[in-house]
Amino acid sequence: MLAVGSELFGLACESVSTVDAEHLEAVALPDCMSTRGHPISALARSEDDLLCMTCAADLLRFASRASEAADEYRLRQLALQRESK
Amino acid sequence: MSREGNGWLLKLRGQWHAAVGLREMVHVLPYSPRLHMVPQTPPHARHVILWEGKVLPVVDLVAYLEAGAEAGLRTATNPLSLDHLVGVVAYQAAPGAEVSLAAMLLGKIPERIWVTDEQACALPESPSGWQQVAISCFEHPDCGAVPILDLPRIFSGRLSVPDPGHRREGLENGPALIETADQRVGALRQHAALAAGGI
Repeated sequence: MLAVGSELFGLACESVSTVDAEHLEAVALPDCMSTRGHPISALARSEDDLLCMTCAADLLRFASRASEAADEYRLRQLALQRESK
Repeated sequence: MSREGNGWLLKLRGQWHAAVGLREMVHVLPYSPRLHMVPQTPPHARHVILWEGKVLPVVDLVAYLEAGAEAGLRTATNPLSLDHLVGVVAYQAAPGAEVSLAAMLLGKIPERIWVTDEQACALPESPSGWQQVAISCFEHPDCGAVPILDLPRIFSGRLSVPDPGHRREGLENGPALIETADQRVGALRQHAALAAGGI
């Protein structure tokens, strides 16, 4: 479970572990990779792997937008089905 | 008086060609370096590589060009073979700015080229994405029109979905711009340690 202020939300994960952020050298997401509302703000290497860094608030904003977009898509599909009948 | 520029001919995936200035190409990683995918990124900039302790974005110019030629970035796919080449390039986002490093997917090892003003030609009309990513163009005897890449623009995040009717203004003659691009990254000489072992 993640918390943004008093709001709680769940994130489905295969596994969860902790990292010591003080020992990570994070760099901002390169400009050419950034899109509006992108939930990942920075990248950090951990041995040979790459970590995408975000925060609960950005994840929640992203999930909300994705959910709204999915709702809009479903409504459009329903409207199209009705028109075709 | 005719001017000439020294650069690299880039052979991209799928028979596409482009060029960069001599000092803009820093290194070639020929052994399919590991590409790390970053979710929710544009189709032409989905990956990064870890190189010399740095995280570098990898741009797949072909994904950008083909997306523009077909139906816009939303439909772009980014098929990568298991044997890809990655070129590490250097650029300055603005005059006086620090030199930045980034990477591009290549199809083959780049070739050294000399280009003169007499070879300058118009950018290919199609795909329209060339207008976004190139500053100039020259005629190559074997490859035809070869666009010279605007690396600061490509890696700045200012690329838009190519518009078939749009032409950027201020496109100038090619060879002089290879020279200019090289001057912009002249400070790269200070990064000799990075270039050591380069091509």
